[in-house]
Amino acid sequence: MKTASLYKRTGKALVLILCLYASLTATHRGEFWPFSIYPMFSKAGKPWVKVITRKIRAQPDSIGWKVILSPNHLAGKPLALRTVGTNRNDLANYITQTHHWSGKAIRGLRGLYNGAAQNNSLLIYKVTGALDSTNDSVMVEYVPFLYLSADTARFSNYSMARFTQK
Amino acid sequence: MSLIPVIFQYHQTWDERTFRWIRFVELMIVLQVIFYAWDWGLYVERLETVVRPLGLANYLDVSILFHHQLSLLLALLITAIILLGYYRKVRWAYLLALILMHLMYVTRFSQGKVGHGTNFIGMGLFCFAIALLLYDSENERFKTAWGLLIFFIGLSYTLASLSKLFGTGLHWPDGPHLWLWMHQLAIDHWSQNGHFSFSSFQLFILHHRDFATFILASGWLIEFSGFLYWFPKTRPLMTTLLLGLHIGIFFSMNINFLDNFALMMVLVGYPWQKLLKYGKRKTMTEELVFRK
Repeated sequence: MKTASLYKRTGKALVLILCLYASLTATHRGEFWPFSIYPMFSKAGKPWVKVITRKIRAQPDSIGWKVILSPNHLAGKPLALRTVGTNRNDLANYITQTHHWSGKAIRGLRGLYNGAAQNNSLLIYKVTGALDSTNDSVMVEYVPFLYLSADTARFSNYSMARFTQK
Repeated sequence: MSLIPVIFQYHQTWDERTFRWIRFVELMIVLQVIFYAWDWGLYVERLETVVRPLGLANYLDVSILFHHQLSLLLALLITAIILLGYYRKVRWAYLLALILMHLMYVTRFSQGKVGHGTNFIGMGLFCFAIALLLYDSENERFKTAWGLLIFFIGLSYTLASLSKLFGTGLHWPDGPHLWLWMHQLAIDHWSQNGHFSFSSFQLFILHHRDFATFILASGWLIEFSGFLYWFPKTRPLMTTLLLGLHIGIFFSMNINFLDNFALMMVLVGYPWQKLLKYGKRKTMTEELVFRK
């Protein structure tokens, strides 16, 4: 094939691909793998919510369900998600984006802990981070969200979750 | 001068080492696709519900792949099909593998978080898929795939910078924004590994607002310059600057820079073929013509 034809064919293909890229990302919130607008870190200064999990000995009635400002005052010991083979973003998004905690939703959460909730008593904290009003420092708060054990799932008053069954 | 001839270079004669290097990169893409097909397939088995659908998951119920080892069957299918493409047995194999891999991706990342670490692998597979469909000659296929890969890698970084500009505005590089992300990623690291402490470098950033602003502004400028990756003369420099960007991200925010994102950019960006010895022939011959 002559060189000019090659360039013409590839050029047309590239234009079509770019149109496909633009239309797919525009209609799917910027993401249609492998096409993306790469919006990572695009919204600066936005407060975030993450999750950490602690292994505790206390029963749910004796837990101090308080918002904590220092990681040194958290209950129990950390549960590292790598030990259960779960990605922390999956867990965080699952918890923050589930609004109706049915039995199926709780089972899904137990699945993400991959048996850790069967063998331990877990206290799940939602961790919120935001810039203070003067934008000079970062405020981090640890809000107790859910106590999870082999036979119990109890939400804190902060969770404002609707929980229908275990 | 038009951009297309600069990137695709059909009018130039490439030496045989360049094609061997491209074939090696193609193999790297294929192996990584196979790896992630099985990695995601195994992970998907523990999922229960779709939290946030992406891509094709908006139209198909991908939760059926959560059970009965269907995700592993999908991984097996992807493996078989992509190898058909690599050995040039079926012309549309790469395209089919890409569609199935997209399905696997939206199933794996159905829990709310969008992962970008494999976008360049997917784009690599896409570029080779298009090249195989457009052309019969391996010479033209390799040049097309390589040119498309160069184009989309460069475009991706510039797009990322524009996302930041339109997402936040000109004050995006303000230092406290980096502090907020550093604390977020510290919690991420703590959650994943059970422990975390800021390094000396990170503590310096957290106590010096101007330095934090400088880091963000430099990073943004390097990203915006990503389109310079398209040009042979500026590609090695841009590769080095982008590598520096990823290294900076690693040391300030603990985000792994040797993931597939940076790796693909480096494999394509430097003229590694110059390290290879010449084979029996100095120019490419038509050895792997697709037979209909």
